[in-house]
Amino acid sequence: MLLPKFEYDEPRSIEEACETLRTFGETVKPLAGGTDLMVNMKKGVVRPSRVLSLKKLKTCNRIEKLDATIRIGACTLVAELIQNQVIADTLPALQAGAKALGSPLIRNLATIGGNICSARPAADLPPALLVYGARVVLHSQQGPRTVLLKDFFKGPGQTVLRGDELLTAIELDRPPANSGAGYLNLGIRKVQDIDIINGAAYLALNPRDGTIEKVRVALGAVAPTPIRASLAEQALQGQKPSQDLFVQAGQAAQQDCTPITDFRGGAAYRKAMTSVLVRRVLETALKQIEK
Amino acid sequence: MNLVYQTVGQSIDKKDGRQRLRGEPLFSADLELENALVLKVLRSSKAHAEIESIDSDAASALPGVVQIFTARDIPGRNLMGIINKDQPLLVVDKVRSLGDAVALVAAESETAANAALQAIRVDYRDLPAVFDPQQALTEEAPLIHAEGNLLCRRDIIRGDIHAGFAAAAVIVEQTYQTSFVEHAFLEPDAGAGYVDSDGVLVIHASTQNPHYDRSEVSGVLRLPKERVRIIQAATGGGFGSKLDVNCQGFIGLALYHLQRPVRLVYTREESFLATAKRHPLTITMKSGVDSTGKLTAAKVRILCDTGAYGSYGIAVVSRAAVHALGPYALDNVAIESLGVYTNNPYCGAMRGFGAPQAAFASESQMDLLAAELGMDPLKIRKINALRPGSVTVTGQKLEASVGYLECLEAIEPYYQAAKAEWLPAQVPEYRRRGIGLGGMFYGIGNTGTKNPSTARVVMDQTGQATLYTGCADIGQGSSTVLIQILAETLGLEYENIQMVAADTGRTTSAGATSASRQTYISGNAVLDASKKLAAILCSLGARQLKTAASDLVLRKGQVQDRRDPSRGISLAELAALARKQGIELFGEGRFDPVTTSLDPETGQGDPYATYAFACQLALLSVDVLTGEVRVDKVVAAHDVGRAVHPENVKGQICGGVAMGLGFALMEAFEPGKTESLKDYHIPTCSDMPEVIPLIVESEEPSGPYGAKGVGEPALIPTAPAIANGLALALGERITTLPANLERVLEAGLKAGLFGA
Ligand SMILES: Cc1cc2nc3c(=O)[nH]c(=O)nc-3n(C[C@H](O)[C@H](O)[C@H](O)COP(=O)(O)OP(=O)(O)OC[C@H]3O[C@@H](n4cnc5c(N)ncnc54)[C@H](O)[C@@H]3O)c2cc1C
Repeated sequence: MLLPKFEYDEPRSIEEACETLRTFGETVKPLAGGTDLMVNMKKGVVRPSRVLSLKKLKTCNRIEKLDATIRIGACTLVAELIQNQVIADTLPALQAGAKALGSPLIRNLATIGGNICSARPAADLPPALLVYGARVVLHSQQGPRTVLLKDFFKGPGQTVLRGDELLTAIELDRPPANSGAGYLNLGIRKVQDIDIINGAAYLALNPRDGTIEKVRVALGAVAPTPIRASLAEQALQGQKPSQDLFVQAGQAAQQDCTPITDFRGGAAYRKAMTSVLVRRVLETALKQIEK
Repeated sequence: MNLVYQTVGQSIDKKDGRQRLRGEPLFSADLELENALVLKVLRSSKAHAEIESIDSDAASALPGVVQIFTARDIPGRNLMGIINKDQPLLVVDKVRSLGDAVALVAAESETAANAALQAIRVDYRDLPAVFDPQQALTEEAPLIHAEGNLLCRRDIIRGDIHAGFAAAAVIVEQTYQTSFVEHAFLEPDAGAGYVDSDGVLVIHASTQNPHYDRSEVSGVLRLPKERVRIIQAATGGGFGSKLDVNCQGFIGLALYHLQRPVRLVYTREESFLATAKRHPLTITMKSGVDSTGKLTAAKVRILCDTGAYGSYGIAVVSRAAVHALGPYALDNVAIESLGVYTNNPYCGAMRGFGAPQAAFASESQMDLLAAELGMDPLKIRKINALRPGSVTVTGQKLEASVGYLECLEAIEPYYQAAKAEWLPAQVPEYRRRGIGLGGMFYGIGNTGTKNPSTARVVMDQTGQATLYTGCADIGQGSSTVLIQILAETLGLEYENIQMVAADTGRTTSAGATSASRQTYISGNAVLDASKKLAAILCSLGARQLKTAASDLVLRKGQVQDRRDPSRGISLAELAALARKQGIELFGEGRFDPVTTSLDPETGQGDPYATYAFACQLALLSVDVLTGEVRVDKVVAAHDVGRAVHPENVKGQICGGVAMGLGFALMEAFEPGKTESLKDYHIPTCSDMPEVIPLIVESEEPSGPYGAKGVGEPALIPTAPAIANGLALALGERITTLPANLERVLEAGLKAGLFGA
């Protein structure tokens, strides 16, 4: 099946790209790895008359370790998230999400920005990013604005990104020493799957009394967007980590989600799995702290 | 008779293997025909509806649209089907399932063809539809075909089941359900054609049965067979689905009217929507054993949902019945197998023809019986195993090549080791391990009907041999094996043998590439042809060497004296001589396995000339909190008679295990939902266990060099082995396939394993 005809731009700077976006508005679509966009264009689900390649935006594919933050360029390849030492050392749950995404072929094309902007409920990267408290940098001709990732998603395929904006980077605070995070996904086959459910958790412990000082739990494929599981978080906040506590948190998380039934999995199954997943990612997070 | 062969038993280079690796063979979609039109099929969006009108005026007027065909444009018999003809090429007055072909568009470009599809207006009047085969058999059910919703039935009655059950110490009864399965071959259906200078419609297609295609296309067009020529293009798998005429009829129809080259290439979505599926079977099985573990009786009811059309349904119904109880001897049986029309997607041939579904049921029953008796699952299989001299449920006495016990013995060391060491090993609390056995037998070739093959071997004046065979190699390697048989028989180097295959213009019929029959049946036809040519060569040689022809053998490109190999004459010399004498060097071969048709009431008869046997062992672990299953290892012992090409056999086994694993754990086609490989999941390499293929060779006296077949047998034992492994791991049996996450979790819950 051939793609319909379209104009093709390859801007060399963010400014140039933003100008094109402003000029052509809704008829233009940014192209990162294309693993989502090309599929939808072939299916005719989206029909841009102009495609804006982000390939030549040199500043957008770097991973930078700054004093207090880590900045990941939107065009960073998913494969790079697996190989990069900074990610491996400081954001292991994001690395786990990257490893779970697609196949080597897909990971060599797909970008972190594309994974976020496509806003799929079951995408593999948002849960980890959410629990690390990620912010996204959105750029237009007026300049950049920063939005919390948890406020970014609006619905399946829907985000707060405006037609004249580009996602240029993802910013995360460097997790402190006494913290850890984990990510897990569940699907009918081992790889190359659309997850029935996925989830991540982040824990930071008070170094003095070992109680949970900061906690974030996120889930995917159980609601129209990736979500934070606030009831689970409340159950954990300020408590001492234990098996029982994690089981409680897992049960609380069931109330955080509103899954649907489709041919991949039933709502009841998804709900039941929330507890198991939440408990397991909490255990992973704790193990990391103890390491 | 364990002779040393030159090429038989050697894993020689696969015929055209290098070309394939270099990307050279042309698949149908690659064929570049000058000025070719693009064909597209308008498909039904309704499961059951009357067509009130089809308005194609607007579509016809679009730029680039050449013509739009409906049923009215079909000059001949608008009904297709290899066994019963009930499927129109283009529907006449009603559609019976989603995806039924309503109209055919011929256009100058893909864009124009797609635009035409959008512009054709079809007015449907919905009819009540039925999707459950049990309901389809009731009085109130809507009629899908005028003759009724029962397509066919097969009964097998033997002995006295009342006496048999009375003699049983233990009786178990259970109902099993399997799903619709998509073949998911690599290459979606495609074809291209043109009209040659003699007015013959030449159609290149992705097919498993060119000679059947020709008769079907010529019937639809009311043309003499000679006016249609089908040539198999390189084919990327079929697994049974390409036994139906998918693209060929449409191409023929367009060629007939337009006399211009055309091509038709299905998208993956169209291939999913519009081609046959594996029949879902509902099997209720009641089985009894005495206290020694000997089976005493079985009562079986099988319901096969054939969807909207018959396709190979009648064969599936019959084969499921014959194979319902597996490779075991049983004197008292009553088997009833029904094929039923519904408004579901039509079901046809798929690797195993009902035997994989039946094996899931019967092998589950074997484990249930063993558990009730407190007997080891391997032991109960050994006790009841068919062996030479045994009589099958159809009353057929098996004389030779009954290698089931040998398969069980080949598995045994792995089984005992797994039981003693692997199974009891310490694993995390939420994990459970299981091991399971799956056995099977499989009749080679069609069930109780004629299914001959023919072949022709020709030697030119330089001593070069060419094999002409109608046999379609769809990737499984039949071409290689047929060449090995020819090379062995004529003492030739296989590299030098030319081959013309699967072209109705140049070869005679070899029948379908189905039912694991080509090695055994076409192999025998090639053997027959080769032997006839060998006899001519020996008699020519006898004159030259002044010895009796019976003392001569063909070896290393020569006719040699068997007692003194230094006395010989090269085939090149003989061929030159023959030419001088005006003798044509060729052999024509034929083989049709010896079978009898099954009695319509009792199902008694000898439906197959030979059977393949197998047993597989699966080692798996389950995450009881999520339902995830990891199959760690499959040991697969297969009695293939003789492995003409051992690597090919192993390849079939590994591929069969992959397909069996998909059938067991994840595959379920849902019309309108699982539209492509994105949503319909088949196993990836990450899902694959380690596979240990064990080749068992219980030579078949009537087989070419002792060979039988392995294509379908490879898949059949996998799902039952996994199901039995799961039952052991969970302490609860799953009776509906696929055993997906939810079903596994549910079984674990029932067994009280969910401790979260
Ligand atoms: C076979 C296959 C398997 C897959 N498996 C998975 C999987 O396991 N898990 C998973 O999460 N996903 C999976 N995907 C989906 C997809 O690959 C990922 O979401 C990927 O990260 C998308 O990134 P991309 O760079 O290719 O995005 P693109 O396709 O280039 O873009 C996606 C969308 O985002 C927009 N966009 C991209 N970058 C920007 C930007 N910087 N600013 C503004 N808008 C932007 C595009 O306009 C488009 O609408 C799979 C896809 C395929 C084809």
